[in-house]
Amino acid sequence: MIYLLSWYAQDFLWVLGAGKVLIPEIFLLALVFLSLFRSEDGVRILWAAFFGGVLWDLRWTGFPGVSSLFYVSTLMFVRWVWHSIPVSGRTISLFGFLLWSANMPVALGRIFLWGARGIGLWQAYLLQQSHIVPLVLLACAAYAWRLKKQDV
Amino acid sequence: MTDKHREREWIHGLLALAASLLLLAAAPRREFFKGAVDFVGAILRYPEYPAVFIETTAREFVVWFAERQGLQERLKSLKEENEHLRLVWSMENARNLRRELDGFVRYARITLREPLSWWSEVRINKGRDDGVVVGAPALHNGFLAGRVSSAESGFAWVELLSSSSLMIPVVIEETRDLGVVAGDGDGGVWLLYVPENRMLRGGMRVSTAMVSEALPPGIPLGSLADERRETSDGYTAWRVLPGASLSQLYALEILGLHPSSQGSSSTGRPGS
Repeated sequence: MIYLLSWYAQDFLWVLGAGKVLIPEIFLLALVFLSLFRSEDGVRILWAAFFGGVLWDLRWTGFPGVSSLFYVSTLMFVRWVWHSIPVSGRTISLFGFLLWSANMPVALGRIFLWGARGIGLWQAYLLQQSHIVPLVLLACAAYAWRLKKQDV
Repeated sequence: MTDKHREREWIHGLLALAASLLLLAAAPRREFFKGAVDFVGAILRYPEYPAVFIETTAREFVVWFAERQGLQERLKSLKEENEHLRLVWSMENARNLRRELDGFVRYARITLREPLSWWSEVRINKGRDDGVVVGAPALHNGFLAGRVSSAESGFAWVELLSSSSLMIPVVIEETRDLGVVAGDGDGGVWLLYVPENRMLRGGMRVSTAMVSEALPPGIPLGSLADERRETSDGYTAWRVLPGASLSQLYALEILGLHPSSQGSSSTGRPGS
């Protein structure tokens, strides 16, 4: 359900922006968040990323496979990094950093495909980050809350 | 998480990657995905409707606001343009009137009428050089409006009928009664020194009486009004309705102005 909701939220914002504003990758953010938050659901999240990406491409880019490739490869990389680190090293800041950096490739790819060049590229990037960073901080707060709950 | 789980996850991940690459490889052939693209678009049309509605409404509002702003700016510029055109039109009118007045021989244009002495005197653009002499009658619409009180080389002052210091000897044409016309300084003109027993009435014509050469007799002045007041010395004062429009004067006809001197002087003066 959360996959559908996050995909729909991203789609809704994209329609609302009418292609004039680059909206944040809410779907990918939710996927990465869930993949780090619930380590055992890896396979399901990977296929959700694949189908979500294909659906997005069919709806918007008209080039099926681009978004799913980005989403799946990003998820695999993030999960590999996360599980390579011992449990004691999985801090809130690392969680936040992974969540934020997972957005980078697809964000830059979208900005480039969007047609932004020169100073417009920076403007689009900063605008996108202004949406992503609060969401990342919110996710960090949820992760911190979970860690605290586990300690108790 | 066990190694088996991780291995399984890697296999699924690689499968998903491979599927993505396959789709990517087939993506340039649009006919493969045309149906799917249309289907997804048709399905998502309904959940996307609120966003479309909000976006359309916002866009329409922005367009409406921009149009309104544009209209206001246009209105403002038209207002300014209208004011400018009005000013130009008024100036052109004034120029035409001035040219017209200057074109009349024996007419002098009024160049100054001070608010404090509005009912007493006016300045005209003709003077001694143009043949204006002190005491000469000044006419408006063929009626006496005042007399020249002082004349300089290029201009002269005319004392109006409504001035309290100007007294004109007159005669009532119907009865041949004599009297004196003087102003009250507030725009009113009165016939004074008419004995109480004289049978005068409103509407009788008033014209100048023969007193001196400077003021010829028979120049019409106006007519008597019905309003009158008794004075303590046995006389009755009658209000006179002047034929000259004393409140709205642009030019005066000065008797005694010579066409030849008019022409010679008008060449060197900017006002003429």
